Amino acid sequence: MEEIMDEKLLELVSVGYAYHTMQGETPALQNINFTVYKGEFVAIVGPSGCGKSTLLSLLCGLLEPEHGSILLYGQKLYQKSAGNIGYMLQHDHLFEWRTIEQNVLLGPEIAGKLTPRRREAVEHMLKTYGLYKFKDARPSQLSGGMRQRAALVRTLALEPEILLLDEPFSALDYQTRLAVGDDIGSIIKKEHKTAILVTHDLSEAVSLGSRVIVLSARPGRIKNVINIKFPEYLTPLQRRNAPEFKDYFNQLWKEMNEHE
Amino acid sequence: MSEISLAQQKFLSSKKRPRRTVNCGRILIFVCFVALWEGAAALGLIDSFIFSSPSKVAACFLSMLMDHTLLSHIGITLFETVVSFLLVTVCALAITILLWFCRKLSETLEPYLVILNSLPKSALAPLLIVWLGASYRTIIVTGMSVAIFGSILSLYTSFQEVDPEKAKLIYTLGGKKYHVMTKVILPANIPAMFSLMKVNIGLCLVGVIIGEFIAARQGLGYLIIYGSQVFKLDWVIMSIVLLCLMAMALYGLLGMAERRYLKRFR
Ligand SMILES: Nc1ncnc2c1ncn2[C@@H]1O[C@H](COP(=O)(O)OP(=O)(O)OP(=O)(O)O)[C@@H](O)[C@H]1O
Ligand SMILES: [Mg+2]
Repeated sequence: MEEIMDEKLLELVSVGYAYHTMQGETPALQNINFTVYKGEFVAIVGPSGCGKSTLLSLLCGLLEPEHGSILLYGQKLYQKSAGNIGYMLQHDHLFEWRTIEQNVLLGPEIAGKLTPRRREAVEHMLKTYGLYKFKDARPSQLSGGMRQRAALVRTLALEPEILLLDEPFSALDYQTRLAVGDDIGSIIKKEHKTAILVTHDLSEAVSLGSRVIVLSARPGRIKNVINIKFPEYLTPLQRRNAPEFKDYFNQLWKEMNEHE
Repeated sequence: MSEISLAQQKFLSSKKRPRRTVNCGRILIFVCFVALWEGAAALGLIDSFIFSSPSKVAACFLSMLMDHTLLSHIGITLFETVVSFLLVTVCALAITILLWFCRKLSETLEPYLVILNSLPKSALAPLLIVWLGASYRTIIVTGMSVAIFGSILSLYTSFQEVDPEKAKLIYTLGGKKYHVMTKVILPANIPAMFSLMKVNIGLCLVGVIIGEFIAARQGLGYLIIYGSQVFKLDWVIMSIVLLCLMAMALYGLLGMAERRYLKRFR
């Protein structure tokens, strides 16, 4: 990875969050501190229910932290800055009543930014990622992998600087998952985006991430951070065959299964 | 076009055959029913004064068509039904949207809506007539009263059933609650609205007939109640047949609109 990633993009300072219901309080996250630099690909792993999705919701401003603060370019994060941050949910949620093109343009449409330049950029992305032929098709006519790519293009249509990905591949079968993971990893790299990926899959974290953050069971705290170093030119799929892959994987595995 | 394989041909004809049998059966039932009715009346097995007969109904239809009274009866009932149906559709949609935006309001009103919906609406009709006077406007309101509360309740339920993750998607794209309504809730509920409308057209017809029973000087409902009072059973039976046809036609129109909408997705 490039070593000149010195521009601080996102900064979390002792962030904590708890859900409050009539049944009681569920602390989801405690004392989360980390910084994301421009161009990084941060993977977050942790046991189920440890607050990974909550963390992403906080990062894109859907929730407000109870403790601590989140800074974007050194400024406190508000929901208005959501334009800078794209959030790709676990399921594609492509709308059946819209064509693929209309689905992908949903973000600009809501923001009132359906400019010809924007349309052209989106059309270009559809072409690059093999969806242009299907732009007038309905989502149900696409394969799982294509749908996931369409969802990514929808997220990218607002030209966010930071991408948040919440287990984007978990709905796919293993074969497609590898292919789409490779695809999407390359797309993100090509578009020079900064990304934060949440996943259950340790090998996915190692193959895509430049840094892996391990969270503890609920309430989620940062247990460890592992820097991942592969030769720059390797694609996610090639990384899986590199000799370092196994070591990183085992290190993560140990980390995850170690009880404090 | 490629040639259809033998197996596919076999499959198609095996599918077509039962269809033809079903259609034949339907026509047969109708023909038998009319023939039996006519025959029984002609042979004196049933009293044609009370039970009428197909030929008497047809004759009655023609004569009333000739003296121009029938068309206005049909027209007024159709008009009242269509207007009350359209008003129910628009009002129910507007009120449900309002309820969806104000959670407090919907929680407050819920028990009232449930009570009003479970009330037998024909009980309201006499009251409405006293309040609003015996005019076609009252009959339209009676028609609406049968369908509107149930429409609001069922539409609100299907609004609530839309996946909250879809709403979350809108928020992640920087949308507001208003966008959740226009981009997700409304389009997602169009099929539900069509099936609701198909139910409502029948309910509005019921309401209009109830209204005409009590307060009208015109319309098929009036013809039925008046005919039964003066023992003109031909009128009654003819009006019932016409109501059947009217209900079928209105339902068929809605079905056509629905199919046209759904065809866009293929
Ligand atoms: N709306 C809510 N109200 C109350 N508790 C909630 C709510 N959302 C999540 N929680 C709780 O907060 C905790 C963290 O939830 P979160 O969805 O962030 O976990 P996660 O790490 O994404 O889990 P998974 O890996 O299963 O997706 C969970 O234990 C959950 O029970
Ligand atoms: Mg989650």
